[in-house]
Amino acid sequence: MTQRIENELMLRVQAGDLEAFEQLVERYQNMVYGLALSIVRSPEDAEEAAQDAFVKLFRARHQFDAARELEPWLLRIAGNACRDRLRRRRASALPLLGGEEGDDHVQQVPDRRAASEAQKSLQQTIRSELDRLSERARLPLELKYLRGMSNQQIADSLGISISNVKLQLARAKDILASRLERVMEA
Amino acid sequence: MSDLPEPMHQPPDARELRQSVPESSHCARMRGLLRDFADADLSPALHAEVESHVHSCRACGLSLSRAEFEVLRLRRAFGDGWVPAAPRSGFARRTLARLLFESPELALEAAAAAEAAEAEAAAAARLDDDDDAVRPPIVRRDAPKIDLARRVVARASAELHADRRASIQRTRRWLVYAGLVSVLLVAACGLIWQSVIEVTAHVRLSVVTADQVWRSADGNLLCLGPGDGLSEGAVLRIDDEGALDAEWYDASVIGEQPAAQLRLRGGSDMHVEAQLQLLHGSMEVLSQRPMSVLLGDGTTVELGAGLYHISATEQMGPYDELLASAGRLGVRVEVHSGEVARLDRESGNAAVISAGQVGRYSRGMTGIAVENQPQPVGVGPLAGSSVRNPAEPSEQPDLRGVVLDTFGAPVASASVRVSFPSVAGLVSRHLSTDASGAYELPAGSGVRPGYALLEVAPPEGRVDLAFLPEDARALAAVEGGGFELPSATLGRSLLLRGRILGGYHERSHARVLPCLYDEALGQVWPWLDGAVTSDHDGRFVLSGLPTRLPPHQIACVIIYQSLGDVLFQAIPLPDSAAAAASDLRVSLPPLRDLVLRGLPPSRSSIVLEEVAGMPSGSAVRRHVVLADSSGVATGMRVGRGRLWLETGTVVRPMLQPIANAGPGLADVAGEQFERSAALPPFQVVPGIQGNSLEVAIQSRFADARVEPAGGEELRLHNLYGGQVPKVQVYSLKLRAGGGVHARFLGLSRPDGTLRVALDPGETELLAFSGDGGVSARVNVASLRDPSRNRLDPLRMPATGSAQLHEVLVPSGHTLMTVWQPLDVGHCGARPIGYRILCSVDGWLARDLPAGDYQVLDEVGRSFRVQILAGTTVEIR
Repeated sequence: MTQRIENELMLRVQAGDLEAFEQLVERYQNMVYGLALSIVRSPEDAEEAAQDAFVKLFRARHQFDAARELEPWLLRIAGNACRDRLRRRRASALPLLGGEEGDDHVQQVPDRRAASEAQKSLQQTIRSELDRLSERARLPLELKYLRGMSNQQIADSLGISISNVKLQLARAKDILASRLERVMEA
Repeated sequence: MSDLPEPMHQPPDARELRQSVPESSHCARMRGLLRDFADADLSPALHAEVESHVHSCRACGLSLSRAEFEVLRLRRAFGDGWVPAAPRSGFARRTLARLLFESPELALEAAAAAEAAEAEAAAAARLDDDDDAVRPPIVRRDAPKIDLARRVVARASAELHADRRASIQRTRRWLVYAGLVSVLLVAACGLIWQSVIEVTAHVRLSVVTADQVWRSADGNLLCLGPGDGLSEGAVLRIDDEGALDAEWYDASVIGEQPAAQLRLRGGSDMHVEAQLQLLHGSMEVLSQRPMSVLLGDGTTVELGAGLYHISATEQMGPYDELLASAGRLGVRVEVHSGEVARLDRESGNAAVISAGQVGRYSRGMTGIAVENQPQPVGVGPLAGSSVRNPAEPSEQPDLRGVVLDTFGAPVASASVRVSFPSVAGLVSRHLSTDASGAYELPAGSGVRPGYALLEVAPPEGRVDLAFLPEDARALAAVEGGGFELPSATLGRSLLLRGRILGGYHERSHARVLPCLYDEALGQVWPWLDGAVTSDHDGRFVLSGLPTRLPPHQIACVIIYQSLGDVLFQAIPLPDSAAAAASDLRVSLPPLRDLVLRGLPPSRSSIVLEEVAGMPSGSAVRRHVVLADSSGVATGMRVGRGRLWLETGTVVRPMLQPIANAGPGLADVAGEQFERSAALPPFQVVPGIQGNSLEVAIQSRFADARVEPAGGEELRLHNLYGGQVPKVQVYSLKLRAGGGVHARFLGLSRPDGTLRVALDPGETELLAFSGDGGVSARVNVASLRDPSRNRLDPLRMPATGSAQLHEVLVPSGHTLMTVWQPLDVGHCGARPIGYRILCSVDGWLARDLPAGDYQVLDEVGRSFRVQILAGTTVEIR
């Protein structure tokens, strides 16, 4: 029912109705902004990226197929907009440093200091360990358990298959569990 | 997330699970589905199958418990204290405004298409009036909505494309956004009410009192009276003997309204638009917040909150010939009180005018002269004839200078701040350099012989150049009058790449604030414009910092975020030994949990935490804590800095010390005292995710005065009795609460003398040679010779050098530092802990004041060395 309303709104946007566009933005703004915040990790950039997504949606409104759902398409646009913004930000302000680890699945970092902090509260430890995960491992976890997105929504946002989402989630959980285990042992 | 259900039973140990291998292929298949089951991501059929299996298979049941526990743990970890995902309010309106701003033609096209579709729908409706079932599948809308959309778009397009002043784009852009948002708000209201609305213009000017004030409309003049409201497009004329008091409502939808109170007198003409436009005449503006005024020649005057006087004296033609007379105004902007004003001319020249100053230009003048207003005009009513015509600048300026780069090429459009002492205190003026890199203060500026303080920022876009920190420079008299400053050279900019790791070596997103730390004076000078934010990988790049500093100053960064302690960290300069090290890698110390006792019970309190490692009173972080009924707050997370409880009232803020009472425990204890006794006023520097830092804005020259006519003569000599010119001399006074207050006395003259008048309690003198390489600190009493009733010469020490032996030359990432427990002493609470000498050239440290030094490397080796005057000591 909801999806039907949103598709109807999108049809009005296709017809040039700016009021419908504004309503559409209001409906999806939290989801798109949440996705952007998880990817770009700065509230300012997240808002810009979310705006990028909606402006792109408007510009591409004639490509919308009313027979299909709007949300997966919007999530795909939003994910791309976030990655574009991230790339621009990295390219303009933060040149890559030589000798740094690349986008590997897991950072190879020593655990001695973390182990020495085993007395910290469990929540804090988990949060710290989550922060230490690589972007590729952290993002699906964050989208699922912080933003409450389904596997399908995550797949649409990241432009990957559902099975890939599941695989990444499982690997991230394994990494996290193994690190927490080490911390607890220490 | 605290209301999440607990798992059904205690999760099994991970080792136990690893030993529990699937007993069959069915078990193995089920195990692969357990995480999806825990996440409720399975289809109903699969869900039922898994549920049935785990009830019959203990090993899989245990695995499911583990998976459920894992999900619960993640949800709790994410749900506890993370940033909620909702954009700022008004996001949809801002998005629509941005769309209209960026693509007005696209939106216009959309509105046209909407109108066409609507017409088609209406036609179809007429044709099939009796058959609702065949209506097209387009949602029907009222025609006024389409008109409205068109008007919104047309307005956006008109405002964007009819802009005739490129130099005020930034201000206009904001106004366009704000205007669009206003119109959209009106649109939203109209749509809700389902009524036809007519968007015309908004009341911008509300008349309070009017005497001989006329509105020009269709060639007629309408007399205005109290209560009249004027909307956009109105042109006002005030007769020579007339007056107008009015309230101004600008296009902002978020700022306080009215934005300002205006007072116009005699012979003024004004154009009312979304932005106030003074065509010519004069007015006083009492503004509540930032706003801008456009002048008839295209100049923009940006105002803050304060009282300003603006006059634009027309030199020919009445207002209706204004477009033809553009550029023929004499303009004068005076800041009576409040925040600075900025004057932006269409030609690109700009100037900042502070309280008590006047900025002005007249016909034929390309720049803007900024000078102090010796007799400030009162707040009272203006007389139409009292608008003073700005005088043409003198041919012989009071002060001149030039800004060059390291190749000796002039630097145009650099921002120069020149300050000099006057009887009333330090006077500062902001200038910009012309195409030949020159700047000048006009005659009558009040520059006195001796010295001036110079600070230069490179022009926007020149990231290769560093800023020149404020420093005292000797003035040279120019034949024919006036003074000249030695040429200022902007060095190459320091480009520093770094990476921030959190307390557990995780990549850390943090704010990086560069600053200069004067170890001898114990002052930290933050450079707010240079602050950057690290990316999510913790990487950051700093640029614009100077590469050469006096040895008693070092470049530092303050790094802060919410999950770690604030870090105050020295950064290596290119010519220092630390340059051998690679990119700066910093690890933020972790926060510690603290239980705080002795708080006001059952209420929230403010706790200020000083930044560890910084001189006392340099920067604080603010915590809000909630105490229980017994005055105890638990779960507080703080860093290593000293803590204060903020008490008292807004009018009279007080502080109470917080003392450690054991590991993880602290007590509010001790007497309260006024905050100003321990901490200076702070400025808030925003961080990330609402985590801000408050830093003190200090200047070592803040208390500089004119050289006294009386007082005592101080002579600066070297060890051989020679006179030493250009020595910076400070008097030192011990503060009651600890630390030392330093007052700049001046620069020694070419004959090595300086006249000083010391205040009571100023017991010591601190002197730095011209390049800061040699310093001395002496007790004034030791210089006084009662028998001769004068001061003995202050002798500056000699210097030596230190050469590292080749076996000690560091390699790779080893950082070698040469450190000296400064014999000139630290006026701050404590030293930074080590000192990177900027004068290290290769592995030769030059110009070291004689004394004992330590050489340290990062692997813990330490060497002691004594530097002798006039010699080079090899460190082995």
